[in-house]
Amino acid sequence: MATILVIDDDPDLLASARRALERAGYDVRTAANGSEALRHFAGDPTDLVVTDILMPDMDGIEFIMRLRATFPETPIIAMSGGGMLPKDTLLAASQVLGAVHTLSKPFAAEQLTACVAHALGKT
Amino acid sequence: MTYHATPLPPECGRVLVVDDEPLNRELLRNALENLRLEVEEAAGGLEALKHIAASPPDVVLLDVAMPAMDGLEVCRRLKGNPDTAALPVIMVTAHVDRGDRLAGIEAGANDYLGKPVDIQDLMLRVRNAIHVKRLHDGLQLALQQVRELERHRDSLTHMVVHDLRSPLTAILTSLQLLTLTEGQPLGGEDLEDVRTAERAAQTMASMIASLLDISRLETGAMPLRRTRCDLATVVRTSVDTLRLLATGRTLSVSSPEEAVAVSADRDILQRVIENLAGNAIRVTPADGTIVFAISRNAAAARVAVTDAGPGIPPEYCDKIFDKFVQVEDRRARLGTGLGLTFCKLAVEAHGGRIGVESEVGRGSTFWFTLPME
Repeated sequence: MATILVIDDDPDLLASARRALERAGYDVRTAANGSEALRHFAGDPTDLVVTDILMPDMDGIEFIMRLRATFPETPIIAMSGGGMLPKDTLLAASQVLGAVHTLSKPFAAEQLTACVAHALGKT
Repeated sequence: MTYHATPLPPECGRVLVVDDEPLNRELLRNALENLRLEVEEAAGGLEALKHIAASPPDVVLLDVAMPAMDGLEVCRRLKGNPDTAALPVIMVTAHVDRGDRLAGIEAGANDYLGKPVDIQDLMLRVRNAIHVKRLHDGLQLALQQVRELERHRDSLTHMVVHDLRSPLTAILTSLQLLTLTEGQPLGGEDLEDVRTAERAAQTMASMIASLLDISRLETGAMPLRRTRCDLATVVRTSVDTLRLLATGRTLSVSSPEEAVAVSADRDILQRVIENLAGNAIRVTPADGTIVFAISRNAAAARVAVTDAGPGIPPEYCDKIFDKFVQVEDRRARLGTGLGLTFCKLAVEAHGGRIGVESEVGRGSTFWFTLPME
């Protein structure tokens, strides 16, 4: 069973993403920000990471850079709803940094699971 | 006939006198200094342009006939440069004929002064020019403030849109999962999806309410409907409405035995408490405890909400209630930040104070006070 780490500062988004991915047969862990996710990942590396971009503490851009430095093989999916910068800019930046897919909020369960399946090479 | 021009206050004007004749400059300097104006000099056109670029005065008195670069050319350059176009220029020349006057006006001069200079004439024209310059500067400043405000409002809009998209994703995802159960009775896990969607929808609803309330409180369009109420009762009522959202977390309320009577708008007060409690629930782990403590002294009643969350770095504790700063310092945001701005405005409208004490890693206590009756 593939393992996935989902990172977002919105607990409801985490809960719904966890349910969607668990239903699709994945083993899911969650974190509320980048630094929590890095600690998590160091002790228990997952097969894939889905991360929000704008978060308090350590944001998704910094998290992606740090994760790529230590675990360059782990596929990353970035998701964003925009903010001070348009979400397209944020998502483009995350792709430059090595995110394999991007999800633009709002999205629904199917888009998330399709993206994850594709990133894991299942489609 | 005498002219009664209001003397300008001493700090009120800097005049640059541009003339190639030292005697003419001295004459104008003496006259202007008698009017308590600050005077600077330039002996030629290029020197004048350099001086203005380095330290713009309030008015330029510009001689027309000068060697190298004449006054008309200086004036054209000043008026052609957006940085100096608003600087009032008064042409000064011995030839008060029609041709020179028109050439000066064509070059963009604001006014014209004939030699020999009539002191009253000089005083009135300089005073008027400084007045126009002040009006212009005032408008520029106001425009800058409006632009700044507009920039803040734009970034606020972006952040609100961002913050609405996350719960919307949670709702869409949860609803889509429920459609997969078509034809089957809903099980316990499906109920979890419904609850997630419900919580997310409530988050969105409270963000929208906060946003509207903030603008109403800021414009004074939200009058308080004060009644005498018992603070402990209001807190307990608010906490009870939030128990469903607390899923597993313990909510404990402590209050003095006797009633804590305050004069407040009960609805608004309840929303303040629900906002603080909602944030506390969001940041507290699922098995954690949130404590609501009501206390009083002779002057004020106090409500404190203590969470078991990650805490807030000290540099953000003072700023966290400010709408714009929160937007700028996105990383310090705590849940839906607008709620705290609403709380601050609402508590202050009641004559109370609001604050937070926090230690990173140990949690935060958000408190507010209301004056006793």
